[in-house]
Amino acid sequence: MTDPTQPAAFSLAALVPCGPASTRISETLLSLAAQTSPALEIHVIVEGGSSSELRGLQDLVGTFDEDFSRRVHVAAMDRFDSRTAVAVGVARSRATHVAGPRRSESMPLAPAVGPWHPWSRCRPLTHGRGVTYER
Amino acid sequence: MHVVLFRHSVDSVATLLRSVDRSVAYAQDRRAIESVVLLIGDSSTRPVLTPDQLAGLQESLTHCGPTSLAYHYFDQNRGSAGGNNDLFRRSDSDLVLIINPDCYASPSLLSRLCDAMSDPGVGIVEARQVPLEHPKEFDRRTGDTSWASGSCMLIRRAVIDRIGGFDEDSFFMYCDDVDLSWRARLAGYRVVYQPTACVFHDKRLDPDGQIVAGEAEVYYSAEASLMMAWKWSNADLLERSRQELLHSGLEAHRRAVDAFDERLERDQLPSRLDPEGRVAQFVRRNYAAHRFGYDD
Repeated sequence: MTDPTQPAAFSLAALVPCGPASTRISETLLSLAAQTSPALEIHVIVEGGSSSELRGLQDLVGTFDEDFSRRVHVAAMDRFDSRTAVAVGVARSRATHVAGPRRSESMPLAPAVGPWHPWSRCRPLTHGRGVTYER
Repeated sequence: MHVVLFRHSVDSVATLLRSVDRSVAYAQDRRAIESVVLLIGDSSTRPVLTPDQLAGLQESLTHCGPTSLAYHYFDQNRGSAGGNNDLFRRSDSDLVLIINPDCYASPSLLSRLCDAMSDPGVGIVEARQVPLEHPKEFDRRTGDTSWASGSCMLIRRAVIDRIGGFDEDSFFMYCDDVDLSWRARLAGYRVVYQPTACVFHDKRLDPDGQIVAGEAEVYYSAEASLMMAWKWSNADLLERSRQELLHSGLEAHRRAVDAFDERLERDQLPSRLDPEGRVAQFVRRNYAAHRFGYDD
């Protein structure tokens, strides 16, 4: 069991548009909850949308079991912030490695191969591709 | 809840139970369900769980409670059909969730499945699988569909009482869910797909867009296809399938045909149903029209 007071070894940061993508983000969270270990923390950086939509997303995260939901952090992207989602994730995360999807507008269901694989003692992941950045 | 194991890892069982425990809490908060019993059947050659591991899993069930979980080692491979039938006899719940060990329930899974059960005419509700959604056609307005996948379905106890459980004598691993669904529909129940009830099911595709299948899956799916054509009275398809399997070049297919022929010779095949084709749907190689194919 991982000590929740310690930083996770790895982070996933992704930018998601708020609103119409809500179905997709729920599936993404389900996929990540099913496939990742406590060594991975997840930063969902939300672009656009109202404060109530942001709260809705936070509530959705809260419906998952605590082992997973405490690893997921939801934050709004400042509209004047010119950084990428991964850069925001790097700033927010305490992990040694941070990853994000190749295309900023989409969050992968979960990474499959490459730099993800040795990360977290998790089961092989099914879908998606990511890129990693060492802090 | 029923889950039948076959050489699965303790970790995968723990992951599934964690998700189910959360889904139960969500459903109880919304008064969709009251009490719950979690039954694990084990068809493995050796028990997957030691007593200590079982105790650890029971203690982890913060919402369902430790006494809600029972583990039954079958000491023989009962297959999915036989294993679930065994578990049906060990509880009297009004509703039974059948779920594969390689699944992970979304928090709202149970609640949403129960929503679809509010119509007493509905006998079976099927969840939507993520990331590989089953492409079966369904009525966009009512959810009605040809059959429900046993990977994750909610079934009314009354259906089991009325039609019996899975036909374990005919279907060891595959198509037991199609057969059950069609018998339920013959008995007048509706089978519906509930797209808002999501479950993660760890399925893979090969580079050609086909579901990755091992030797046992190739054999049992071939055997099941012959049995479906026989039982559901499609003589043309039976002969066509038989010939295709014999000439596929796969040893597993030839063995499946031999096993079927032997049962035919010994008069050990099930009674034939639905000669008028009221519920049985044979569409290409599927048991329903599909909305899309993963190899399209």
